[in-house]
Amino acid sequence: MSQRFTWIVVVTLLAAAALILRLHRLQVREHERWADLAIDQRGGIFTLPGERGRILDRNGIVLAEDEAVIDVSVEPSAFRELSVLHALADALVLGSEVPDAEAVRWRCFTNPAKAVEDLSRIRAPQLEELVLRMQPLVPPRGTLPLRADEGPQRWKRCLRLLGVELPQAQDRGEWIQREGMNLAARCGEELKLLSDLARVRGADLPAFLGELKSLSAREEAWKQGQIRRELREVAALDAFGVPSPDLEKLGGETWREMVCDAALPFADEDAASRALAESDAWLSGSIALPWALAAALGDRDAVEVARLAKLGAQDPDELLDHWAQSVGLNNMDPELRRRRERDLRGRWRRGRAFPFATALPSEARLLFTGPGRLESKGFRIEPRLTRRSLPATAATSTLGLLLGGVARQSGEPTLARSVEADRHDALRASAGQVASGTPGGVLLTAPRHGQDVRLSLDWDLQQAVERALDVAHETEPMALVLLDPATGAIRALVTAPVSKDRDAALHARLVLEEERTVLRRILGRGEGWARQRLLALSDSGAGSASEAALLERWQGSAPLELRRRLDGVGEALAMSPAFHRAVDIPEHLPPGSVFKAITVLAAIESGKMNPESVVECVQTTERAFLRCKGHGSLSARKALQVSCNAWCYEAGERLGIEAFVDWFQRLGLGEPVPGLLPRERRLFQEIASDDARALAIGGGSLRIAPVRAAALAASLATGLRVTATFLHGPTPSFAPLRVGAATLSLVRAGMRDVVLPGGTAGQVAGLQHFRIAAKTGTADYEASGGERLNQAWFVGYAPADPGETPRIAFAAVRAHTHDKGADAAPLVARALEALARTHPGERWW
Amino acid sequence: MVKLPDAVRRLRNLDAPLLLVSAALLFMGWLLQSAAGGGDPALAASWLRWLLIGTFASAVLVVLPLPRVLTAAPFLYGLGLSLLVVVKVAGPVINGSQRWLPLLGRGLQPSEFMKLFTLLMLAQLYRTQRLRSEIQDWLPVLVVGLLPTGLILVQPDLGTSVLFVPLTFAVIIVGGARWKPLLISSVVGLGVLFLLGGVLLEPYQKERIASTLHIESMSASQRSGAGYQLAQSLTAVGNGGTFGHGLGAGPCVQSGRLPYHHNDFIFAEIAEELGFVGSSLFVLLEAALVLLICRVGAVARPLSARVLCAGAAAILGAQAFAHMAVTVALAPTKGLPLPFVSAGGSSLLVSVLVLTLVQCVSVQRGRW
Repeated sequence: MSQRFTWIVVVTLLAAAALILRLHRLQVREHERWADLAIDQRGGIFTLPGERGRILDRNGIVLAEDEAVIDVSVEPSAFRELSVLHALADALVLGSEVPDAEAVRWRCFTNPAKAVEDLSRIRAPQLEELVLRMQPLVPPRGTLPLRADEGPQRWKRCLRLLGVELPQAQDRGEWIQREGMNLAARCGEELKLLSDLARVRGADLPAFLGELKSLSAREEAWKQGQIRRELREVAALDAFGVPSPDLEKLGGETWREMVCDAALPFADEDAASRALAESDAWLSGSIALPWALAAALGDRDAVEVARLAKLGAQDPDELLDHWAQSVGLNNMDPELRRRRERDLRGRWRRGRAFPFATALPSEARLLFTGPGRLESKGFRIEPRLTRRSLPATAATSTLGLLLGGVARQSGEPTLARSVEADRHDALRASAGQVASGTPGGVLLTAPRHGQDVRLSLDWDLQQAVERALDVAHETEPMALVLLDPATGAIRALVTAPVSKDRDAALHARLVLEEERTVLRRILGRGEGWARQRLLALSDSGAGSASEAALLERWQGSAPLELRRRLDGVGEALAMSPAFHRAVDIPEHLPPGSVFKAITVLAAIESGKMNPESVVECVQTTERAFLRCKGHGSLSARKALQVSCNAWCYEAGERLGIEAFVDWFQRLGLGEPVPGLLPRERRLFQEIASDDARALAIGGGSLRIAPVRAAALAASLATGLRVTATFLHGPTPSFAPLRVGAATLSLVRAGMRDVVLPGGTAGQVAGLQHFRIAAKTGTADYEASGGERLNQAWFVGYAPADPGETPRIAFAAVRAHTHDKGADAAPLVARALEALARTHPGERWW
Repeated sequence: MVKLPDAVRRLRNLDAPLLLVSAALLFMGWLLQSAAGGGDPALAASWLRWLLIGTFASAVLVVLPLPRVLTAAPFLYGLGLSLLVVVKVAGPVINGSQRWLPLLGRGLQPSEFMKLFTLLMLAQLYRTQRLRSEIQDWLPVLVVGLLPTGLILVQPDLGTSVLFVPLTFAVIIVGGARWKPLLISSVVGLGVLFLLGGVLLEPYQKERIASTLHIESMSASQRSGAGYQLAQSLTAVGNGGTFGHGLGAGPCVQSGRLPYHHNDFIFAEIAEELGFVGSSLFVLLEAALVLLICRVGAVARPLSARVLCAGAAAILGAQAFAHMAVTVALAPTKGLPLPFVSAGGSSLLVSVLVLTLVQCVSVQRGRW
């Protein structure tokens, strides 16, 4: 070979060697480093939160679940048209409450089979006409991105995916008039979700729809949960920015199709077309919001939208007003609000990002993003999961006290005594990891979702009872429990008063309890302690500012003043709507005479008294709890009927404290109530030093939550050691009470007599209609200011006729009242009527 | 005119190994541009169209006597220079440069064709002039070879303009220039270029050079600026590992984070998807192409045929290795397509025609 060519060969070989060596270094020796960088640059590793388990009622109604929402921050410096920002702020206040989108989402998530049923209605021949009706949304000048030919094509594609043959145009009829655009919009949303699920399942959509339809009833219940979980995972993937090519194909290549699919209701079509045609200026920048804005406003006149957008004002004050409403500033403490507004104004001036809207449905992301993007110029969108309960009503506010909540940052339960806390280990989820950025994303670690918890609560019954008792307007403290005596399952738990703002009520309660703690300590440990504690707090900076403020306020006060204040705090707590009185025991809640049924049972069964033991009841002016009305000579049954203290004092004196403690334990008093109450440990310590006679009539240190009182009634009704439970589960097997049949029969007879003429509830109008057995109780105590008030109880079961199986046990209490025990009976009557209404055809009494 | 049957008979003299290697490279190009390689179907279709044009042109060229082709070189060279002027004066600005002329419904890149025309012109010079080893012989060659450089540099297209240097020098060396004056003038020329570079280079071109020199020590934010493309290319290459992610499945490349991965950084795609094994084989394939061209040239008798082969080896080899060096940060980013593989019709057509000229040398050996 020519030597001259040799130089070219040598240079080539040297270059090849250099390249190969370089490749070896990059691809073999440094591969890990570049692979890590590749993952980071592809969008990074996202934490995919696991979904906390749902809380359901016994029939599967979702009471609490996680929901994917977004928090949106604004970066004003990135905006080009502030008028759009203005209009968006206004729209979002309304946009977050779009009912149709909400209904669609709930239906899809709770009942996919129903969604399929709706989708099958698309086979109606008027569909093509429906598609054509979408055309008017395109303004004449074509200034919007939606092209004239996109509508029918998109829907035809949807239909093909559904396996639906597009019918010939036929008579339109009233179907179009009735269903209108919403069905078309819902079709898109459900189609997207169901198609995503089909993709997750590895099936094509028509086959998957067929699978849904063929589910048996029993399987369906399980699969709906499973399906819903998968839907949520896909939706969460979407919400957390993991792009999916299938989603993009289904939603169309453009964001405007995705807006359609978000099931946003449309405004009046002509008005929307007019307004949008006149608003070319809105389409500036990379945010094509106006069309979506008009859609999001629902039945608002779209022309109004145009007017708002053309304000052109760059006034932070007006804008801040809108945002104040959307981020809940209006509900804030005034000082906190002022500080927050100062912060917002400062950020606005500096062009820095600040929160714009929180906890919007994840579909609202479409209002902010541009074509095929996950982010938007000017907005920062942060997805997260939030705990969502049923919309706030009187019923749900009480339920909220029982369920509790979950802290956003830590994911830990917010209420120590709540279902969320009690079942936290089962409900808790663990996060997964997603490497986002590549087509489809890469699920590195699948999130582990929490287990669902099913309560024994009957939500429909709960609402019916609350309506029957008018809990929403009740101002006096009361509680009522309905319980299944065979299983101990709690069917309804009612409390009053209620507060629509559960968090505010809880906050107030915490403040009062903190003050009560400080007052007790000052009273117990003296003023010197208060001064030292105050010094310690100011030196160390530990403790709360409120504790320091309380110490400063009360440290120099006289004991009498402290006690008055303590009484006042106690009373405020007693009236607080932040307690669920069916389970919580504020200051003064002794059971009173309802415990006489236990006293009679214990005394007779232990042989201390016999059924025919006659005690002379004489009116007396001795110590309060020894008083009675002078019933004359009474046997056990009669003593129960008239609630005679004298008979029970005698029985109590003979029994003694230890026997009472033993009987309370045999009856399961103090047992934990799964999902609601822990084991009651202090009770037996406190009553150990009580006067047995006081215990015999339900006084002394005895405290009992109504839910346990209902369980006691169930025990008497069934002869078993019934323990209440708030959790749904297999039928438990309760141990027998080891009480003689005759004794039980006597006690039950006495309780039946209570509601008959001559009994303590015999005068209650209409009560005889119900064949119930019950015991009244009126426990009085001294409230603040020296006033004597009562806890009025009514505890029992139904039906109560001998030989009939009891089907419902109840406990009702009116607290902080002048009422007697019998005055709580109408609560039970109304509750039983509500029970009959919600479960017709069954014999409850 | 050669009789057709004779011309067909002479096709037996096609250099089979060279044909195989070039077919392998074209096949790789087709794979990468097509859907199998994750490519854009429209680009793949365009690539195929250009390949067909090139194949047709090659089929015509290979049966033409090479001397006849070379006689057209001055005209073609002049045409090329004119087009370079026209593109600078009237060409559309695309991505900040004027490189393309819309002709016949396509965008043609005159600078690419100028490589071919310059090669032909240089070969014609050696055919018609008695150019030997003295500096006064090869200085005109230098001028002819480097004249397009200036016109292309002002487009601006540094990468393509630089290619004329190895082309010209390879021709001069194989043309028989004496080493000493050649080396001296090379050193002087490099020095002048270095000094001029500080003046003539655009700021972004200087930044590219700096990025290449410091890419691995740059912070993430710096990598997101001037060094972005190079950083993404290195990441893609390194991410390929030993055996790659599979054709069309390179995560970095297919996610769109590497701009121009269909042309200027296609070797990064090869590296990520075929790994060290595949990319090394590709490098050897390119080296084999150059060596086989040199082999054809080494046995050719006419000096013009030899310089033609030397120039062809220089064009294809320098471009290929420069492209690959850029993707692995051994050279500053220059935006050079990979011959036979990258998208870009002009580059593909010219590469095929250059290779065809080499085959012409093989086919027509002894018949000049």
